[in-house]
Amino acid sequence: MADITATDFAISVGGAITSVAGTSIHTTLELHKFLQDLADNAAPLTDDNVSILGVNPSELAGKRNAARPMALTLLNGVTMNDATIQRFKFGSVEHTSGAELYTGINTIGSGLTGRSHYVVQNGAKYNSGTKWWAAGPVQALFKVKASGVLISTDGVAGRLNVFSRDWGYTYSHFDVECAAGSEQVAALSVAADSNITRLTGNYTAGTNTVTSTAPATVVTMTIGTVSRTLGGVTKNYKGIISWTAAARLSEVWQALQWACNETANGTINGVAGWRYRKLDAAYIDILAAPFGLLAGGKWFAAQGWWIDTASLNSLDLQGYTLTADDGTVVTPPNVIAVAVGAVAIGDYVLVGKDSGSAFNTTTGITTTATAAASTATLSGAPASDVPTGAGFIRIAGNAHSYTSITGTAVAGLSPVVPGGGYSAAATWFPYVDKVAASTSESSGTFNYGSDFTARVRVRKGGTPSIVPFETTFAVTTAGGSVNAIRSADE
Amino acid sequence: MHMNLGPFGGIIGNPPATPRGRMYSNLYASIYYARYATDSIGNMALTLTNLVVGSAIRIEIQGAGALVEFRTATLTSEVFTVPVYSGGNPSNDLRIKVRKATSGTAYIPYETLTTAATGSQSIYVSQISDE
Repeated sequence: MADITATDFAISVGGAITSVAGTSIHTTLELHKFLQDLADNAAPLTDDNVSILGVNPSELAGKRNAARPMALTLLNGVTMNDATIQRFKFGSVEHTSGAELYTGINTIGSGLTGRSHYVVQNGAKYNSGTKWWAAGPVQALFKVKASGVLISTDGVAGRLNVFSRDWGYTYSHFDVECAAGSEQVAALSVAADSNITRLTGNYTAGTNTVTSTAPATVVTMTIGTVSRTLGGVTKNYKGIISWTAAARLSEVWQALQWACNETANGTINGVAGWRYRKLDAAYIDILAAPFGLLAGGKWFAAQGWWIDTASLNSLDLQGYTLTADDGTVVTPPNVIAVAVGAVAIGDYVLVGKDSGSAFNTTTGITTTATAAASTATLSGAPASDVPTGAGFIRIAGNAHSYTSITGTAVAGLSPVVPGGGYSAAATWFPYVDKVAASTSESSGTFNYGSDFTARVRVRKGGTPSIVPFETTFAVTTAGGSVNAIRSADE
Repeated sequence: MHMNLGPFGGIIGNPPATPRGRMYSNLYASIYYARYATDSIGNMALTLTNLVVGSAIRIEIQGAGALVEFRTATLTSEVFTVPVYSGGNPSNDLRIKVRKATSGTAYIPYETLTTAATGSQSIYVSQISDE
């Protein structure tokens, strides 16, 4: 235990202890020892106005023990200010009959050596962000009670938040309850983050936005409850993440992670990014990454956030999972397509589900439409493995293409509905139903539901004709494809 | 002070060196002195026992804290000669402080109050270790 150098501190006639020289850090026990050493002097020495002439200046809660954090009470008008308390650690100090309390924090955990830490109180960085401790785990005293009132953080009296959000490392934080005094532990854990590939200078943040220079994209967070459907699952979400330029998810995640780092300069949902944790107070914190973990190339988005599918890069369609407001995990569907190769321009290509011996045209769906219309109404929503973007439809045996299906509404029919219209006409959905315009034809994308067998038929009767080609092929999570065999029929 | 010059007048001698007493007389004269109201009327032998050797001891008057005596204990029992004043005088109200924390085992400061009265008094000092 290193004794306090008397010339480092001055004690005024009124009992105010101030740091006047030196920078050494001492324990609260060393402070008590210093004061008691003065208190048995016959008279004050130099600038230390404590002696047997005056009242007892201090007492400990318990016996002296250098191995324990000591709760020290300064008595009878002896006080310390915020600046002087920075010279002390390992315990707590209270004065003015307990109206002022400084509680110690000791930060422990893995990976903390050399990592920047900061303390937050009542929504602001303690001491306006000016630290008096070196990088690495914090062990210092912090004021948690002033003028007899505990200072609240997050609405909890006497709480402090300790954060470590160093760029290039996973994040961590801990809520410390300091009202009881003594020394309280903040348990954190961080590690080098291989997902971080950009420099901190690559980003700047604003109000619910973060801008990346490379790649050039602006990520926007829109706060508010919305209902969204993904993979047939409709749930509520409390915010939408969208971005520009079809940036990859790994870049979007990195930008959002930066928006939460210690030096971030923006706000998220009204909260400074450097202390943003989650979209709703009822959710569970994800310490390492407030917007969710990025692992194995997949973004496990934090609860409550909807990822705007229109912003997605085509390579990231299955690169994420969501957690809805109610805690349901929602995964994007596997989107696949079927293709027929080795055809020639002019071949008629028909692909549909196989019934075992023919095309399966039984869907249970009928169509009603007005003559000359380009829209139609289905009797029910098609199966989930029917393309809802561009696709093909057979109504009463007539071949049409469409541009979209939304619920039971079919749009963009080509050719338009023939004379007489359709009235509850039998309907099925081929995957390909056209004259080949190239050597390969593909279906529109659709959601994979389960493996099935597809049937393909390729015919060309005009000169030069081919022997009709027909076969079946498997469609799996990877889609399905087959090459036609074109045998000359002349 | 009243000085009786005797039947022949003149100086009858110097008063004793000791502070004011009730009366002095010799062959030639009698002199008596009247005390101030604040003069002590005697002494008390105050014994502090169970002291930790090396402790700083300060006996002071409670009101303004005026020093009566300061001493560092060299024995476990120390005797102090404390002036006693007439009844009701606040100078009889004493505070006794015993402290030891500079070297060796440190003790929680001990403090007690007492009232001086002619005769003797013994106080058992209970110094509690701070370690």
